[in-house]
Amino acid sequence: MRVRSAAALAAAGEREAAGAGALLLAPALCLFALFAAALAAFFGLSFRRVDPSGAVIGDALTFANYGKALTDWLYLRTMLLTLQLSVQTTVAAVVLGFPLAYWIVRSRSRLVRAALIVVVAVPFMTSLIVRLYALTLVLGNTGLINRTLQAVGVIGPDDFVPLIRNQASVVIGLIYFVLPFVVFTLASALRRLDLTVEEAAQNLGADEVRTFFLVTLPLAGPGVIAAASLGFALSATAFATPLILGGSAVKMIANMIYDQVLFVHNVALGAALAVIALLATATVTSVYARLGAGAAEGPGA
Amino acid sequence: MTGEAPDLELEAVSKRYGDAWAVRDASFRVLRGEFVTLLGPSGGGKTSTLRMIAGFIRPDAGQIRLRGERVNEVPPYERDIGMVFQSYALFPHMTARDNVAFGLKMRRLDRRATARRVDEALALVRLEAYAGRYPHQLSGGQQQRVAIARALVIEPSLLLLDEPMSNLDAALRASMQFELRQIVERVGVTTLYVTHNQEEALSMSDRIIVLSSGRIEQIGTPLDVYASPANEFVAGFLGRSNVIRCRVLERGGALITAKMESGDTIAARAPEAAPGEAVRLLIRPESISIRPAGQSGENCLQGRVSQVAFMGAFAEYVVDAGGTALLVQEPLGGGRGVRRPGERVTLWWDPALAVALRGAPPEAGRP
Repeated sequence: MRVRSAAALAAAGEREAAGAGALLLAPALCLFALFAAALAAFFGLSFRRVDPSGAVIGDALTFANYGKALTDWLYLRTMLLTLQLSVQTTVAAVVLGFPLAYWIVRSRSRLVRAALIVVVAVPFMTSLIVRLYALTLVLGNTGLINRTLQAVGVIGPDDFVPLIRNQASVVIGLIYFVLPFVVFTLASALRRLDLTVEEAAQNLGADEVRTFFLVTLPLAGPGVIAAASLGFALSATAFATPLILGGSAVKMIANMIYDQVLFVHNVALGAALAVIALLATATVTSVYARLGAGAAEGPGA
Repeated sequence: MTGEAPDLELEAVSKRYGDAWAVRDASFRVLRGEFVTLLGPSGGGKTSTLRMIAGFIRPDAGQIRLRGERVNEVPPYERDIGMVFQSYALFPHMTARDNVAFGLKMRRLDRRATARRVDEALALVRLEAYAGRYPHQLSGGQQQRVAIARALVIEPSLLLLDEPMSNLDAALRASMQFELRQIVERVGVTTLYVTHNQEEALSMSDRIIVLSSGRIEQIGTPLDVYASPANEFVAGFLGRSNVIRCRVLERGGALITAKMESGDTIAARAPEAAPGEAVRLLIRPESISIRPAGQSGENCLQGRVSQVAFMGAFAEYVVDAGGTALLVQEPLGGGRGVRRPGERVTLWWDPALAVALRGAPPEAGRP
């Protein structure tokens, strides 16, 4: 009797624990439902027709928004520019970030390591908007660089080198934005790398350069792919960086969607552009993920 | 001595990290074709010594010479040394074959010669059938064979092995010891082997270098270091020893007679000790034989069995001889039974098997 009641109690306890678990999950599920509903609504809008005030006309579904987004050079150009700037940013961030991450992981000096981490991580702790305005103070037409060039006499006193509101400034801003993510992703990959494997390569006659390209880099491959994927996704969806550093001269896809929704009131076209951008980013990221998984498992695995 | 320089020579090599000496004033030579073992406890400086020879760390003082040439500043990739790492350090993204071929590719050997030598090396370690496998598809023992083939295929002037058996299970370790020695002999490569395992050192080496706290305690053949340990550390690290404090009474030839603290007189080998000097006698448990109680004569001690341990092929006793506890091993072959605690016995040993150490006893922890 006693045994049975104990078992019953235990079973009841388990049921209660499972119930409590579901209860704890509920807030997250509610939030998720909200996001899903918003996305679904936006997705639905992309197949509708709207009047110039932004109101939906009728119940008919149409592919016209997608047709316009994919054939009008204005939008195509923005998408291609977004792709170009994101690729440039990703490549630059990985190339710049790899030595930084390597140094953070390999430095024997604790001070050097801490200093590097602080340099990379501090931007994390300030608002992106603040950092971008700080960049305009340096890159602007009357900014630090131009004034220094004037003072040194490289350019005339009223002259300036255009360092802002162009593609280069947006790429610089994007690199600044994604670099910490890229460096930390690479660092965690490099930290897992066995140092003695590099020693073995050197022992077998590979100098530092060949050791790096034949052993370190291939083994860090999955980390590089993960970092590049993250960098690309962050760049491709950037909004504030092109807005502040590119202004009206350089618009990326997020700015184009924003303009469509808020200024042109063409919510449907904005929605279609958003869906296309989402699909494009998801495709690139999943290709990266597949590449990364393949590299991690190793050939023949 | 011929005019040929030893394959490896260390002269007064030291390395310190902060205040701690990793290696202190180490000097030794490894001659062509020799198998020499660096033996010592972890933290004894073995691995630091090996890493200095391989070129991964630089000595603070002293000279390292490979075939007569000073290599202190030569980077590891120009030293022509093969190394087997404790973790094997195989390249995980390359097949066994590509791992073995790596060193030859670095030497820009042509493709046909590379393929031939890789095949030979894989055959040497009996891994031909596994050439296409990746390291994670190989067992620990197979990975070790790949590591050995990879180090030997470049025909190095010196082969370094850093605790290669420590990741293998006991049965595999025993067979690999034998096989490694065979492989090395067949290739004829000069070898420096690092281990903390005294059995490996004794069974495989031509000579053993005993290291402790960064210092060389003794260099000698396995028989030398076992039978004539230079000090209590060596005696204690290679097997077990009884240490008996006594004072030299007189000497005759290489032998001395000495008085124990209990008053008994015993004999030992001590070529240098002078009468009146305090010495410590080292005697191995298996060198002491047990005779029926009451026997008298030279080197006979009366005692009582106080502890008994049955070890299978032999029994181990602690015998109390006039206040000195002595560890004694007695073979159990031929139907002899295990002795009982309390049994009275006579202990005897050949004076040539007892070694007298001179000088002050070591401080605790470090000779």
